[in-house]
Amino acid sequence: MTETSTFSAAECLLRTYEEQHDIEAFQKGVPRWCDGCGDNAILASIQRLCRDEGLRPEKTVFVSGIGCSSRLPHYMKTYGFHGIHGRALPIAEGVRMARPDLNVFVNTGDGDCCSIGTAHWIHAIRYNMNMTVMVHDNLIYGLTKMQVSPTTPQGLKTNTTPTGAYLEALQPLTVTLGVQNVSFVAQVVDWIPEVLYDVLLAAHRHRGLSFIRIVQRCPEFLPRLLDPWVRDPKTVLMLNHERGLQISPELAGVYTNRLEHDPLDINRAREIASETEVIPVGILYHNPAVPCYEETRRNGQLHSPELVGRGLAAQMDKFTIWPDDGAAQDA
Amino acid sequence: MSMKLQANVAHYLNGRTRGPGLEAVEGLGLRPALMAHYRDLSELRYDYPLLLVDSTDRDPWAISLSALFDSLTAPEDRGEVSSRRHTALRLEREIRRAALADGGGRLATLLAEAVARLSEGADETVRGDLEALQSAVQLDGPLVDCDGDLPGRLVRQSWQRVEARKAHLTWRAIERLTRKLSDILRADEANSGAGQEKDRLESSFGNSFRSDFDFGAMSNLLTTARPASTLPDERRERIRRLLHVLRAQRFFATPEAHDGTGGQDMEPYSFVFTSSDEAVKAYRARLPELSELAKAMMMADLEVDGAYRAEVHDHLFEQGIDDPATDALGLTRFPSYLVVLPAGRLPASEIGPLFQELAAGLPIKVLLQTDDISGPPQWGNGDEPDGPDGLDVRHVTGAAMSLSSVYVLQTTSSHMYRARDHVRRAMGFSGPALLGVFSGAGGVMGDLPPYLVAAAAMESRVFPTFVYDPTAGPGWASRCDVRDNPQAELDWPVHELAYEDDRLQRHAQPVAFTAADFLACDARNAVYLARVPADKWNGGLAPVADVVAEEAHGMPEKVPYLLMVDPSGGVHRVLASRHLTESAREYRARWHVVRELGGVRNSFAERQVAEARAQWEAERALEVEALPPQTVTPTVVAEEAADGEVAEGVTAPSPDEPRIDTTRCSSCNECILINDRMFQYDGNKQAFIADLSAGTYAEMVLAAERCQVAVIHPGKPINPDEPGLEDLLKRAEQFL
Repeated sequence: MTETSTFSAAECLLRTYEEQHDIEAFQKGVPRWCDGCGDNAILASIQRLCRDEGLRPEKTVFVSGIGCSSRLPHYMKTYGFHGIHGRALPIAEGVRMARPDLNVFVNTGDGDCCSIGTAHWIHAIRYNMNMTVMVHDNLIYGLTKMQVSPTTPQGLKTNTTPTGAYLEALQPLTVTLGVQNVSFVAQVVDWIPEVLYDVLLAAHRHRGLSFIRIVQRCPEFLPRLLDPWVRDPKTVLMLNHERGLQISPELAGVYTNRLEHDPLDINRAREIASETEVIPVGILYHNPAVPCYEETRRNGQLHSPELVGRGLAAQMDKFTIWPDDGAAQDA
Repeated sequence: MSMKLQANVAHYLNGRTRGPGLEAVEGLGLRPALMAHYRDLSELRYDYPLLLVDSTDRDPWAISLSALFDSLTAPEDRGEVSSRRHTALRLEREIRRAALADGGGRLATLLAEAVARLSEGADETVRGDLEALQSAVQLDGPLVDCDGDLPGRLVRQSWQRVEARKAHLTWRAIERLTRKLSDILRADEANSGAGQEKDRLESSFGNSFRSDFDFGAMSNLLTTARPASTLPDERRERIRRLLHVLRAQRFFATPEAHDGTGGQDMEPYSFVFTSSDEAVKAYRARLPELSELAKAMMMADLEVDGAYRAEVHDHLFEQGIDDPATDALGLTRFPSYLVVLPAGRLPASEIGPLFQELAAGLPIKVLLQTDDISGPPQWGNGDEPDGPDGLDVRHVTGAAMSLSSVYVLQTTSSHMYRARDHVRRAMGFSGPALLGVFSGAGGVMGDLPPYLVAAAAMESRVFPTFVYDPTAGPGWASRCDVRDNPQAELDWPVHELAYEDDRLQRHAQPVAFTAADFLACDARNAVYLARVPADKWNGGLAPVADVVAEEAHGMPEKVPYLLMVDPSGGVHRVLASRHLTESAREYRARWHVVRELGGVRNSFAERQVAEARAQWEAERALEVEALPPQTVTPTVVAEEAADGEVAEGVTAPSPDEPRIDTTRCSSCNECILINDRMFQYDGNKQAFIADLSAGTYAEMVLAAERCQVAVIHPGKPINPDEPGLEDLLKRAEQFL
């Protein structure tokens, strides 16, 4: 084949008339999160993304594990899978392999992803399958009423650590950036919805696994914990770059603490992710050249019932004892 | 003028007149001096014979015998003369000899025979090397020499490769669509009353637990309790219609038909023709069917994706869209038509249909081959004029280039292996392609093999090679590529000719290979040549290249000659008459045109560059003059607005005015829960003040206090009589 254009005006015309959906088309039920919960901001941005990107509800699936964050699929009028604790990612990987035509989103929390689901998290990054993963990190187990989570700051008193959390908190970004095949890592905060939306958009358009840590307030159990960062814009470090995020002039007037950061520079990304004084917000790492697992594994064969049947039969035959040294098999 | 000079001049002017001191060349077996080393091709390593690889799905699709054997020993053995390398070269030569002697054959057979011959009486090491080499050759196919059949075979091989790939992809798409559509119907049927009958349910169950179930009760339950959700009749009918079109297509052979294990109801179409008229008739006759298939694929694609909307798409498919069979995607998806015209000039009856097809952009690949281009020159012209018997290949390719959207390749059979990527691109090009090839197999060049004739035609600019690729760029220089011609920047390629004189002293001199050298190989042109014995060589003679380089204003100052060699290697000066010299001049002029089209020494470009440079220099001079002495250019430094400063042009909001920084709202619901008429969400689900009068100032202040991200600013109350205002204003102060 030559590298000539394969543009088909007819095909584009036909697709022009695809149904458009407004934001209500993606809303389902009244969210049962606590008043003021940061999950509301995440949900609003996701619904906005679905509308703006013209996603079709029947071609979109949200997968979650267990926790406050994982209730999100209930509030989306799309396909959803409220999975089991820590297993959102393997379920999403299965969906991706079986239905590559679907837009796959994963909503997980700091406990779901970084504690019981850690093994799946590490390998999901390495597999780099095309999906958008949002870690709603509110630094606490909220659904079970304030137990310590892997990202709880050291010294914070919780119901399971009444004298303060013993260990230094796990940093999801530095862990993710240390895994081979990582292709997209970003951090946002729920109280800057404009950036939250922009990062979600970039993540969705990225071909590969997009990992977004969303630092999120828990007004019920940690009402004042993040106030220093919420109230003082200087404590937020905005990452800006022509290949990354470009914040609006309005936002630039508020968030003046900005850093020009090339998202292809993984070493610098690791340094930024290790910051503790300020919260870096934006795209830390983005490498579109990393191959997706499902594409490297595709053999081009149509998964017909006959093909699956032949494969199963071949597997079963391994355990079959053939009389007469295989005469029956040959027959 | 002396008598000997008179004889030279007379021969130059007339050709047929040979005065005293000049000898006829017939029977001397002369050939151009630069071809002295190329006698027995079987002793040389070069691009032929060529292996046309059998497999249609692996690369390479064609490889020269030399390249194949290089790949067997490369790279570690090539650097030194190892035993294995030596054996490989012997084996290669043995195969080449056999292939040239027998007119080809299959590689595996020739290889086995050559190994057997060389193994006889060989020592253990050589036999081991031979066996290792034989087992290392993984490719097989016919070995073809550079002869009259080569262009057709090579083009057909490349076309088949491209079409096989295309057919594979499109057939897979058809198969996928067919299966998905069938699945929709099957699911519909399983959901229907018939699909939930007792027997059907029973037959869909395994044997082990069949007796444990009451399938009658299950059928009753399913048919009465479940709501019916079958496909609309219109959609079911549409899917059936699409399936029929996809299954009845004849443009691609099914894999079963390929394997011989099954077949299509109808024989697949053939796409190979020997006449462009026949090809275009077949194309037009099949076009409605092709359009139906293309539309069916598009409809099926929408259907399986659940995106088909009858109220919109029915109308579009009936009359609203361009024919998908002929748009850019269709051209890369459906078969192209290969036309292999009989060798020779393009017949007059084919000229019209061919150019109509090319101009119309039909997916057609045409091979136009010629075996003879060196006939007796006509007056003032390099070759025979185009007459009622047809057009010369070079004129056809030249005219096709002017159509601008046709992929054109002109080359010789000797160069086809090197140009194989161009051949493949021509076959894969989505529009029409024209290949003009000179084979050198006309049999009019004495004992010269076709490979040497074809190579000489290209070397002498009589049949230059070029490619015109419409996708390579916007202009001629990028689309037209002439770089494959040797020493393209010169009028003629120049090589060093080394020889020894009567006293066995070595001499070397640069010699140009001109069009006259090529024409001199043709026995029909022997009348225009006359040998000058060595004792008659004088200062009145000059190489043809020098004479042609002069401006043609009447009689040249010196009589042109060619350097030629006889079979024993003796060098001769042979006078070339005006007919050959003028032909060479004409070919040189044509070469200049082709070369300029390819951007090599393009006079227009050079003129433009010169003019632009002169203009730039003049402008710079004016700017320098206009500068005052010791002017320092001020540096403009862009500085960001200081923290907290309000950018110019942006009006700071009044603290008295109630407002919400909507873009910063985190959609936390707090304000909405307080008063959902006063506060509402916008299209992005972010809050704004919808109706200030719908609530109290107390609610406004409470919302500001509860707002998680502090984006609500209560401003001043609109009702001065609201109770408790003093306290409320104090609470609101921190949010103003």
